[in-house]
Amino acid sequence: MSPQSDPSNPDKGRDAKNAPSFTFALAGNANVGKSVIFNQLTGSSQIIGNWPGKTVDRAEGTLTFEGHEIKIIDLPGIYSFSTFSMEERVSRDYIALEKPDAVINMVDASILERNLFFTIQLIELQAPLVLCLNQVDVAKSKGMIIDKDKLQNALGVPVVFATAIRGEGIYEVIQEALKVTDRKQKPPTIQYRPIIEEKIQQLQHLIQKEALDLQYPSRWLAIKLLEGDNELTQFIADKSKTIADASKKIAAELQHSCQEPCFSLIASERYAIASQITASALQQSEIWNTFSDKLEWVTTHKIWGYVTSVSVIVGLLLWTFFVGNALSSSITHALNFIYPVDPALSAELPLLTILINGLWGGFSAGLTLIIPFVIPFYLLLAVIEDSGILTRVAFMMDSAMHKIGLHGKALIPIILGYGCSVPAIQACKIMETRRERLLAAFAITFAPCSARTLILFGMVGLFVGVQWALLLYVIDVAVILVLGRVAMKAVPGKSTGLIMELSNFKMPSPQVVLKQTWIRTKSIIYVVFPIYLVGSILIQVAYALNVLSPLSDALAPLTVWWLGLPAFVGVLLILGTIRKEFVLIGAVAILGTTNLLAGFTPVQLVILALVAMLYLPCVSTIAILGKEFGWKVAATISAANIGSALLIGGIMFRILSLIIPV
Amino acid sequence: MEQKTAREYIQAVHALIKTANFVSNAKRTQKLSLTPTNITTSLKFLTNIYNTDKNKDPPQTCKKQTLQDKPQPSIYNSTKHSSICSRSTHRPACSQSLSNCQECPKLPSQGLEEIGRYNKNLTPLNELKDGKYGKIRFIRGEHNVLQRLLDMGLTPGTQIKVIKIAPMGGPVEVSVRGSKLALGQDIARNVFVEAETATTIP
Repeated sequence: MSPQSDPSNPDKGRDAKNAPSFTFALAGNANVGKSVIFNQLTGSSQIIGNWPGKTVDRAEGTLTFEGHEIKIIDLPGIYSFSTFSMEERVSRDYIALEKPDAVINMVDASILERNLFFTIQLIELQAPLVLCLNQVDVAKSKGMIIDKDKLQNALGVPVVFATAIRGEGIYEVIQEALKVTDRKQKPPTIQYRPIIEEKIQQLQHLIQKEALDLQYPSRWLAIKLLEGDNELTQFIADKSKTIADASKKIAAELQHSCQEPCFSLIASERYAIASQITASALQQSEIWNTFSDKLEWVTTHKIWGYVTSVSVIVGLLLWTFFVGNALSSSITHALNFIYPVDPALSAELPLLTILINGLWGGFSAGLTLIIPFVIPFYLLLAVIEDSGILTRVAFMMDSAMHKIGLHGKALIPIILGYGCSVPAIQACKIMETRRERLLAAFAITFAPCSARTLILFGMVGLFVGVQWALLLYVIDVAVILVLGRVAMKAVPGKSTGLIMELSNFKMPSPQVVLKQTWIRTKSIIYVVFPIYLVGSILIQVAYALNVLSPLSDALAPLTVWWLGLPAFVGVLLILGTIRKEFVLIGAVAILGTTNLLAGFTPVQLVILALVAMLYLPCVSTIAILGKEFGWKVAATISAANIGSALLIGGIMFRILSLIIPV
Repeated sequence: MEQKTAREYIQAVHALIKTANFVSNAKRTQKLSLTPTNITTSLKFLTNIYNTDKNKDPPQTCKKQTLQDKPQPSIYNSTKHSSICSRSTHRPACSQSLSNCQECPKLPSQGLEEIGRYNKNLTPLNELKDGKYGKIRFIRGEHNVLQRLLDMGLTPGTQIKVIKIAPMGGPVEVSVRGSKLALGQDIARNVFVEAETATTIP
């Protein structure tokens, strides 16, 4: 039954010294804790969170276990192997073609039946399988008691209980997985009901008889062909016309005799099996109103639901400002104590002064304007992500999102875009069609990422007033809605509906939250901070040597006449395309002080922040847009951003000049 | 991109006529949760079908009837029938005014597929009250959507519970096979259930 009787992968054992090395894959539904266990096993720092679809590309890591070198592959979470999405195809091909030594099927114990639907498909795929029943504690709190032996016997696959977040059961999982590779044991066949089973076997025999060199297990292939899987039907049509014709005929017969499309029949059958196994292995005692149910009630209530959704979105920003502001001013005081910033360049040693000023400017700008805002922001973002509230916000906001051609799920990447546009655009993969991914990514390029939030708070919030910073946010949201609507009309196609799993609420684990915050802050400190320092020095040197004035002069009509900003802003805006924070850092470097009021009027700060927020995605965002959607799209989006930034900035300048006399 | 079957449309009009002699577009709009423009196009469309049908040989079998934003000329010339079409028990029954299959408009399936069997006692999911249970009997939609719904456990015969329907045409939160899902209105109204009075644990 299993066609892959070839002893082992050719690459296995190549790098083995004493003990052989293995490859294990983590597979399962979305949001069951694959990334949690992956991090535990490999010590790596995959971003985890309580919403379905975080892992978009597969991640790899290694683990040394009792002398074995084990490569762990974290596959994206999927619900089945039908090939409508990239993730499903990636996972299927990986398991079927690259044949990992063991597949660890992560299962959410509290949603056993739905998870087993996928397990059955893994069994059909003849993967060497270990079932890891995760979140047993959650299941228990819902009154579910699972009989491990019964489950094991019914599936014919070893089962391990785990609570991955606390590291429980992880050792056992790896042990079992090693045993599975030792035995080279394939899971047993799961029988369908006779009327379908007969057709499957009929087709399977045909496939075996043709003896084609197929990588896939013949029974699985037969089932997939009956289901009418597009890609595999094409694959078989290229190899053997006999099988292709036969499968079409058999499928038609089955459809006729059951009066139901085959894909529905087979899914129903798998679920019937999953349901039967669940019923035998699971004891459900009474359900009581848990804390999570009450939260559920509040967050999806027709009034409180909107209140919570809006507070999540606005609260994140307010929290960032107030905590950031407090941190920022205390750090500023401390720094001033150490080194009172002196904007005057010393005449005797200009180069040294420039160097020191640049270094100090970059350092203090990073320390006082960037870090204090980044840390509280990421902290709360991690709490929000981990709590499971994001899917509820998506639920409540679905009808609003339809106005810009998206559905509620798109709000998840957009809220992540508050952090950084790059992972947010990658997270757009949770959307179903390219059109929706594109529209969501477009909205994200306008969403205030942390760098833009820094500019807003560092420039406007600190020096003009927090109400102005918030006003700019409101303008930003309005821009997203208006331009989103325009984009919806411009991009042909129609919207698909929302089908989204609502994740369980849980108390955010402090460990996870702190780690997540640290991972994100670390990248700022280690990678971005040095760039600030170098950039700051370069700006100071270039400014002192007057290299930049031709550039500023060239842009002067736009910056000075249209936007009413000082001429040197042109340079800042150009530098800001590398990283948006450079608009802020650069301003500090050029002015030689962290007190921005020395060089700008309040109106100018507002306008500069507004333009900086909208005008162009940073280089990394443009790069990811180009990678995901092609360079034409990236260029179009960039042009749209520049256009709207200039338009709105100019109008805003004229309005503000009327209201507030400069 | 609202999609409505002619049957639903005519049923809605019928229901409204029972209460009043005159049915305003606004009322129809409300009942069908469509935009007024959609209603106007739909009306034009129905007239079109009616006129076309008078001039042409009527088809032998009923077809699925879908109203789209814009009438598509090609559909009037379509003579091909899909295999699903002959299973008359599978699609929503024709409304009274088109009870005779000979009068049915010839519409292609618009890429829609269906699973399960329809009967007129079924309720669309979005019309079920909060906290009520139902058994899934019939789902209509694009292939990808159907496949995804099946993958999520919405197979014919499955018990499903409506937990909450979001306001303002928002999604429907359901509990099925122990998991909670949010289904957009466009999807929920194409999932038909047999409403259950007893509340048993799913």
